[in-house]
Amino acid sequence: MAAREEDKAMAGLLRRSLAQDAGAGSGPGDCPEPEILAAYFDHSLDAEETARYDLHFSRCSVCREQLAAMARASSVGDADVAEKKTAGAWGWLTGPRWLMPAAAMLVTLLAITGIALRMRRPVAPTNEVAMARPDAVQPVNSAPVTTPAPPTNSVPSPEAALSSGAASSAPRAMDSIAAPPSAPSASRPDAAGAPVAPSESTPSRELGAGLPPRRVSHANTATRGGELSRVGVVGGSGGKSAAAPVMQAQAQKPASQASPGIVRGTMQARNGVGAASGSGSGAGGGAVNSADQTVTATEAAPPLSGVEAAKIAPEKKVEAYSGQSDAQLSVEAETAPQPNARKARSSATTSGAAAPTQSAKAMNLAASQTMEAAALAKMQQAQISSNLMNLQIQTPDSKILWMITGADAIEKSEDGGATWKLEYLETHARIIAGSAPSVKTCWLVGEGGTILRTTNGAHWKTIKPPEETVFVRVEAADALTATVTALDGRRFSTSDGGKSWNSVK
Amino acid sequence: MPSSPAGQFVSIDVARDLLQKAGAPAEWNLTAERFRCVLERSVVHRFHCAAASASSSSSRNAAPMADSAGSSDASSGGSPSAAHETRSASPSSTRSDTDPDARAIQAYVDSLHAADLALACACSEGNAAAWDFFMARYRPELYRAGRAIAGESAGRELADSLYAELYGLRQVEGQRKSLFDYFLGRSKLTTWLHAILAQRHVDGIRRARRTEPLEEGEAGEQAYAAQQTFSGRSTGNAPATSSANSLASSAVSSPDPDRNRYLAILQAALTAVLDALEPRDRLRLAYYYVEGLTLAEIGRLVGEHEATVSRKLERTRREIRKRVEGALRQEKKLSAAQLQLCYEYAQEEWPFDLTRALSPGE
Repeated sequence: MAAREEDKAMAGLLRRSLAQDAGAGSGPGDCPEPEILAAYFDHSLDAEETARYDLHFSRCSVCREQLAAMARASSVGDADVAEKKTAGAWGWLTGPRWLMPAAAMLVTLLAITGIALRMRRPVAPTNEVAMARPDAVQPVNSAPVTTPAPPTNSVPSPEAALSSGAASSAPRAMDSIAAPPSAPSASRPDAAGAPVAPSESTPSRELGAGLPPRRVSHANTATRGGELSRVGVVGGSGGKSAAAPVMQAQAQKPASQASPGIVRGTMQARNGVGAASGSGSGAGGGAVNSADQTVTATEAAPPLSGVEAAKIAPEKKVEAYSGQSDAQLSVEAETAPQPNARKARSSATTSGAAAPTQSAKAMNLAASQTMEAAALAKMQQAQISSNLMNLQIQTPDSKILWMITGADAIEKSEDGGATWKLEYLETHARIIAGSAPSVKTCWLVGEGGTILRTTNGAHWKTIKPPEETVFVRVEAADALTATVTALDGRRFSTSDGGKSWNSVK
Repeated sequence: MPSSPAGQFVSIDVARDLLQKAGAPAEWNLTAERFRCVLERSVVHRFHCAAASASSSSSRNAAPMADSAGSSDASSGGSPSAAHETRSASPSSTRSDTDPDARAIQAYVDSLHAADLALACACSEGNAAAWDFFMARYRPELYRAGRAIAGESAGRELADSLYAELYGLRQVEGQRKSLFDYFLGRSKLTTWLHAILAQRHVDGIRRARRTEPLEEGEAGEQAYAAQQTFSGRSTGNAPATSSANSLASSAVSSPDPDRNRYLAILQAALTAVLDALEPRDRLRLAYYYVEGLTLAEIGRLVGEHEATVSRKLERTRREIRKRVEGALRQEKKLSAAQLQLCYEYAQEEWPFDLTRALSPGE
């Protein structure tokens, strides 16, 4: 740990320890009156008294608080003096009389020049704005620009952060009742209404993590107790998610709006559903990540027949849609008043599951509630790969769980998996396994010699690895002691928090 | 007669001289005898306190008693009244053996802020001119100080609440009692006013803290648990072990025993080291870390330049760390890695905020 951090730790400790000593050693009755405090403050007590009260004050937080308040009161007076001094320092401005007209001249000159410059390109600013909007240079703009696009959209107002998602997902739900669900509809240019990573719902993200007809995706809901699917979380981070290859339906949207985003899929193996995610591949690192996840998920779900899943998908679709809008916008009940919305929400919500021709197996799977039970059984039978199991890290407390959800993120649940909170890690290497010896302590290992550890359940520290290799397994006994296993089977252990590593035979 | 019976420390001549030096305007109608009484009270307070440092009887009640005795003294023309007798009775027992010598008293009286004392005295008497002067001179300062202490909105209220008391709307046994009667002249009047504001403010905060329900839910329970531990502590353990205890008990609520064990060890070691600190060093630390004062403010309090404060704080911090680490290595046999882990744990959120949980308990 850096010396600075130790200082910080020490500062915290001192703060706590010193604050505790209220009246220690001397009862409150011994606290001096304001007259004495004032005399002490003015340094007009004699040496013996001063020493006596020093001792008292050093132990008595009540008196210290009063002295501190006095210090603040008198430092205001000092500040006033300082202010006057500053004013004096600026006195030169008003000093020489001739400076005033000179300054006035200068200001006038500048103003004239400024006006002249503006005159030379009078329409430029407006143009810039006009061009900027379709380009969506500013992520904020993209919401108002795109929301009017859906013909059925009745809520064009961009004011509420969620409302663009709400407005567009609700009409879409209607659409899908009327129209064949599989028909790719070009009239849905905007991609709002996609599931959003927990606690990350900004309009632009909803737009980005769009919902084109052939999207392979995921869904995310608040999962309940024994419920299976926390399926995938797709959240474009950084504003606009890309979805370049998949979202062809978005073609009529300016391309620049779909900028690199990070699509993150999450998986939960706890209930045995290897539900899938992965979608909208963004440019950049996010793409790799989501691709990864998709593969894993698909592999994990081989026992389930895609055909079966697809059969169920259309029926579930309506429900899923409404559920989705409900889940996303618990605020606006009026947009999705279907009675089954709640039910849908409790189940996995899915979207864009429409086209059976699209390989959306894993997602369909997640969508169908009936499938889930079967999936559970089958998954258990098939003994999902230990890799997938490892995505979730148990702690001694069954309520507290970690889940590896992406290259640079981990999720934590403090209620046994019902809700998850995303935390970002300071690494871009893929995390492969983890181990949590206590509730607050957790070790993570992964590619590129990545070893991370937290001792407070929140902040992660990079541990120097024994070597830059791929670690696939870690077993930690506590915050200092752990054994990591490399891909090639070699094992290393540490008993000093990773300062030194020993090879284990 | 310089030293009249029943412990008259200040002669009327000294009082008259000082009153002249104070330059109090004539319309304040201050008599030398009245001023002498005020001086007398201040002297009694000062030397009585020094003689009987342990007793807390010199609290608020003592001063008005002395004053009322003094004024009745003046009205009855010098002969010691019954009130005077009762006043001098209690301190005399302690004073008899340590009767301050005349020189010390003279030096003390000379050190007093005579002008401020005269103003306080005249205001206490209810003199309109003095009161006007006080209002003109000190009101802006009171408001400013109030705001600095209690914040923008509460500050004005805090300052306003003083006026009634200063003016003496409060009646004690049919007599008008002014807050000014407590002023001893040992500090500037401004500082004294600040001190009173500060006292009222801190009292108010602490009272509010005591009565306000603890945060609901988990935090509340933990704080409650902490208070329980604290009350256990006040029954008398050594501070070092008791704070370790309180941490150990917090370990019950927090499900990470390893972490709490380390924290407890670290905390115990630190408490021991802090207990051994010089009062001044400890004070500086507390001002800095607990009260959050600036270096300049601390300097004002301890009478040092802020650069000195900074240097000394740094030195104390270094010293503490050295001693704590030494203790942990030698007594607890912690390795360097474990020590570092201690710090790491300490840096993070604690199970709950001891500062907040413990302060209302005292």
